[in-house]
Amino acid sequence: MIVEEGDYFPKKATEGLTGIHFKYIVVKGLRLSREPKTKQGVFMDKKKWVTELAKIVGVGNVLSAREDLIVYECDGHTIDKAPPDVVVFPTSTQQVVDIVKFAHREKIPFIGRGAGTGLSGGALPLQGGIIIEFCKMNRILEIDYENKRAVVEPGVVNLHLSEALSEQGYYYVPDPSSQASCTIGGNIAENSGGPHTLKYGVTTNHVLGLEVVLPDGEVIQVGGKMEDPLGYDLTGILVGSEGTFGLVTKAMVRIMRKPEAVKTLLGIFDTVDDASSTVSGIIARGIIPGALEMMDNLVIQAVEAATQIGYPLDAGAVLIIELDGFKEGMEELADQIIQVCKENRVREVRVARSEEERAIIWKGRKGAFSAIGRLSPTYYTQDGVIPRTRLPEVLRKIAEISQKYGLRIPNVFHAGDGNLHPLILFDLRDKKQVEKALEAGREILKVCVDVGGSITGEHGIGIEKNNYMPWIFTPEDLEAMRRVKAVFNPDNLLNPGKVFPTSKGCSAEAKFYGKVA
Amino acid sequence: METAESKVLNLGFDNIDPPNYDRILGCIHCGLCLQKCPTYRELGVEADSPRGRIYLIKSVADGILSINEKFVDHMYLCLDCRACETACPSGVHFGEIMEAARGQIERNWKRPFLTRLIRDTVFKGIFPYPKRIKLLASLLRFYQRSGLQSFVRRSGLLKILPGDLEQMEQMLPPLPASAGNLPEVVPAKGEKKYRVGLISGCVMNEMFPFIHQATLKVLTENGCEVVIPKYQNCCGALNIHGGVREVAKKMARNNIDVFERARVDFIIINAAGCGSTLKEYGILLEHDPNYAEKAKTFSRKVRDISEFLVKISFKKPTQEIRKRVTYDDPCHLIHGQKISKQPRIILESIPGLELVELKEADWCCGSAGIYNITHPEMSMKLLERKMACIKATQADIIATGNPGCILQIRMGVQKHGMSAEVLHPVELLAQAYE
Amino acid sequence: MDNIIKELINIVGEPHLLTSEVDLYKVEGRVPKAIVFPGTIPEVSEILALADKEGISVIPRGSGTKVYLGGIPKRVDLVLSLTRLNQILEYEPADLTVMTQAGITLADLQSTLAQRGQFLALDPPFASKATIGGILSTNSSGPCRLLYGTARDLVIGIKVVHPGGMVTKGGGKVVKNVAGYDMNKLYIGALGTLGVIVEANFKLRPLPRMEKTLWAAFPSLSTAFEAVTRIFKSELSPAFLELFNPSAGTLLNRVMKIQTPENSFIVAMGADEVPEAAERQVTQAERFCKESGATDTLILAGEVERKLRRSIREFFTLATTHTRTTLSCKASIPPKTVGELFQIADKMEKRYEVPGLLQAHAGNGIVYIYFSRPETPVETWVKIIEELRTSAVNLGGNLVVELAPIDLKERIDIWGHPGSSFRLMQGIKAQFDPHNILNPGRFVGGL
Repeated sequence: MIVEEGDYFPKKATEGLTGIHFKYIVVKGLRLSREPKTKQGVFMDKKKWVTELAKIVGVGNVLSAREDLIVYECDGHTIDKAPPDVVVFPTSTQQVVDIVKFAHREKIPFIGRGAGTGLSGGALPLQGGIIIEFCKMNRILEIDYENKRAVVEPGVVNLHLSEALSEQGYYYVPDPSSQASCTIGGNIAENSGGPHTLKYGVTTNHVLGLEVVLPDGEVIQVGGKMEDPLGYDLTGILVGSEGTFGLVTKAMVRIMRKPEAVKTLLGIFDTVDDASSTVSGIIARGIIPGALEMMDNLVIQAVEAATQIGYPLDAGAVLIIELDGFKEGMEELADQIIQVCKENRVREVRVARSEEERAIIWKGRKGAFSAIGRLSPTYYTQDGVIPRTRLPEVLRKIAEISQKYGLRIPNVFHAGDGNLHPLILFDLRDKKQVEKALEAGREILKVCVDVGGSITGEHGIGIEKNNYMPWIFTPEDLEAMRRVKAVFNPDNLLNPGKVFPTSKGCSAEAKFYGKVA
Repeated sequence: METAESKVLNLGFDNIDPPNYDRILGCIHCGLCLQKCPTYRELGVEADSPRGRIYLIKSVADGILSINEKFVDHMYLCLDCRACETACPSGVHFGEIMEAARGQIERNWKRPFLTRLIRDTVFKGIFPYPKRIKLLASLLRFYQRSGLQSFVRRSGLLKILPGDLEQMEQMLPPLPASAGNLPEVVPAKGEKKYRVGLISGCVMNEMFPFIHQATLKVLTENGCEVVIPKYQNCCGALNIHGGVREVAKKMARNNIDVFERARVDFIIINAAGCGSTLKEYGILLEHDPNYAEKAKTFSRKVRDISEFLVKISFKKPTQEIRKRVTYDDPCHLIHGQKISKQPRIILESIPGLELVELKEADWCCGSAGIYNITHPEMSMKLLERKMACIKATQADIIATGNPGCILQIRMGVQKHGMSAEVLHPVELLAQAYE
Repeated sequence: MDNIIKELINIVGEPHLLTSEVDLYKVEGRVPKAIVFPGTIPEVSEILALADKEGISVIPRGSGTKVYLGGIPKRVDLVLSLTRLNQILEYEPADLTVMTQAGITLADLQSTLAQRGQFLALDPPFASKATIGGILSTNSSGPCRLLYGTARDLVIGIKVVHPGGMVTKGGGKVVKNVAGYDMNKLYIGALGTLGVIVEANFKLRPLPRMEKTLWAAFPSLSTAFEAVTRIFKSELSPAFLELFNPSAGTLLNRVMKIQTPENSFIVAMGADEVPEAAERQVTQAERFCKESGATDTLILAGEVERKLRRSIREFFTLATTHTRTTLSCKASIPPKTVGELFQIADKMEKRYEVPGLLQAHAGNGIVYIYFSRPETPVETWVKIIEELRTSAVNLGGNLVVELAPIDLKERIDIWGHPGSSFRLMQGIKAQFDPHNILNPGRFVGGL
């Protein structure tokens, strides 16, 4: 792979650049030339793009300066990078249509983006081109309490929707940890989860209808305020299509009454094994809590450093168990849960007695990912899923992997769903560590797959795990997916390079991070 | 901790106080700061978000970008309100990174001549010198009261000034009569429990003499002997925000020396912006071999007035104030110093006072030091947002603990033809001590 | 065809191919030439490869309980029965997941799960006979979808055999999974037109500790619907919330031997919960009903309650056996418009003199309409359907004709038009079944 050393890298800069940043760009083969290129290699003056796009959205809603673009070269997944050639901010469906039609006509790759909080690189414009940034389409168009539905534009921030519903006692259920920033449009693309999915399901279970701009600029409506739309469940297949099928410009979502009672318990355990058995024990009793979250010792330490909420620093694991529903019977359920905890040698169970105490318990969990930033300058987040019963075994294996590579791997995860988030700590500037981290991540996912699990529970495949897809899907499975994609996105101009494995002819990992297996 | 490698990577910056690369890496790009950033919320542009700005700074450090006009614009559109620090679960010290980057800009970026002249005059020619501030204030008083102001405004003379200055002229509220020179020591009322120093500041002294008087009263009522060293100077906050770090360091060193001589238990500040700066002298001077330690000692003694009062279990007031009051958190108090409960505790202690919560109280009012002068458009947007929330409270009094915010909100109140007063919480407490 | 039959025998063996009594397997009056009963997935694959090559049409079939659904097939050559694929493949109670073949009946599956105190939270009609594959393909659901959702909410993995023989799976065995596109959704409710579902993985739930039902009678639609609305919008989370018009209510009363005033609208609400919470829900709902003007309320538990649930779930069978049902439709509309549709249906009942039974999963906006009087001319039925459909569409939903005589089905669009996304549906169909061999012409828009 030859780097086109255009003015993206000033000569002087690259000479001294020993850091990993440079290396990645080289090895991942991203196009670095600032000269905009269309897919067929036809060159079109970028100034002309900007002029054309500005005609659609106004000059103030187009970004094309290098300083403005470079910040869009990655999202919450920072290992891969690819800058766009231009960013546009539409404010209406019609503008999106016009932008898409322009891109389609000129064969320019394009991609939708919300808040850029995704963790699998879903918002990376791998082939450059246009980023269609939806943050200015952020109106809540309708709240229909009579039907328990809300109609929103894609740029509405997840938490803002729940805040708008709060006064009437309603909320929007899916609550990814990034809910304070992430957008509903992004949630739909990635089929986002969150701690409360155990009982109430993920994004797909709460989206009823969409308005979508297809990659050729046609606008379609799928689903609606009714529950059973006609024909194939296109809403269902669009949710979680990682922005490769179409651009959502409007979404009809379910809203729910807030549970009248919530009880949040914090169980503190000496070992991860005890905490894991407690999870199984609770489920075995026929109790499905609203949320069931676990953090191990390293995470406890980081969270405690960030929030000082009083987790004992020597605890092996903490479980956050949240019951929600009716006041009646809740005490008894809580007692049963405490009983299960005791049977599994819990050191202490704390019960939140006020909304404030509950918020404190959750603050630790919601901020856990980022708090890890205190332990290590960089980390690599995994998102494997395993059958709940295999939890102790898999956690032990992760510990072994941690030892093998000499990297710390804290674990924070949705224990109830078996959705693990091992965070592999490494220093981005140490080449050896980076390789080890990637290797360790690969091994962890392999362990998850071996016990019958999956490589991603909520973060998506994106550019991060596309080459692990063959671990869980046969060529035929992938072919079926390709066929559906071909219907929606036949020219592959929308968000190219995602989801599907890209390295034909060499081992899956060869391309990934540039290591030849 | 600065490693050899991190130095290598600081390609686009010079070696004087470059943004700390390890601390830059602390930002994991999660984006949880986005919706708490006033400029991102207004513009939706990644480069005007906290993580975007850090990314730009990192790109310069990596040698991928150079310091140029675009970069400078993004750096200065930041209010430095630090709301992102509160939102950040990784504990990134955004303010510190931003201020270091601005320091680099001031040294390595040439502004247009007139802007440079004005900035030099303000940051280097006026703020470091208390006497010049006093003189300037006297001149302004003359300008405002002699009828010259109305003449100038009518004449259209202002049009020949660069945008910044014209805006500055319009922002200026009528100055109250000078407080004159504050005494150097004010004895405690009753038994002396503490010996504290008071930062008299720059603007505060000239524009808000009543707040100083109230502060003195409240402190002495609570058994404090208050020392107001004569040779102290402005804290340097505006210089730091403006990237004029070397001057700020000089000012800091002087203050450190002056207060060291005063031998006080605590150093009290009644302006949030200054408090935040004073508490960070330790960082400002961390590479100064002679002052690094002294600065840390100094910073450890600094207390915001509300923080101090609550800590010492202040005397409960007895006089009723039958008013509806709302409290607006100054950014540099809630985000810069994590102080938000204390001022509310003080207000709630006043008999008869009804404290109503202000929606988005933790949101910047747009004042941000001299931001309202340099970026009037964004500043006004934020002020309008703030005023909408304030109106909803129907409060008689808006309390807030920072001079910039008081000025800004007063301007908003005036613009909206409201009758509400804008006061510092200690002013209310002092009243209630009558 | 004879050669093909020989090849089919080669694939499944003589005993598993039926060429006599094929009449029993007819679809909308069209008799297939053979019925094939594969015993393994490779067999299904071979059959579909053969069918695709030879261009013979295939009607996938479970127990045939919902064979009345859909348009008249263009061709009916081969019925592919999945009843031999009836094994539970993996069941790990502690994981609350199960992997099963498609030919198993829901009843058999539930009884295995019940032994471990768990269940698959689907309660479609024909529960004793319906197979998993059939339930998924028809997206069959029941009253309890209000609390538990429908198949799309419960399937975590699916295995499908496509025309040409390609075997693919979507999802997996774990309850949370976003690897790859959510292919499960595509096959649910596709009426077997994209592929034949051969296996499915589900997430399960623990059996509720207590089930209670509130039964309330109202003198008018407005009072009944007010109660429905209050329950729907309240903090209660009922397992089901049903509304019946007086003739449907009377039928249920008769079956259940419940006495309520003549001509009452009936509201039924179920609560699945821990005992205290179930009790609280029905009590509060009872209060809502009384405040809204209920003349009679009844709280049921135990054996009677179970029977009542069964009757509500199997209302299709009740309606079709107790009346001479000629036309049944399913409307899916926004929940708050259910009352309006009841009014519209009532008017049509009077105008066209066709007695109607109405059942609504009110919280879901699903309304089942059963009109009887077979002697009504086809033209009138066509009009009724057109008017009903226009109303449903205007209310923001759709209307699907389910049961109808063949001569009527020939005259109408069974499904209604799916709108702007139809082009995509055609595209998807063309990708998976290019020769149109699976259930040709039975699905939306003739797919």
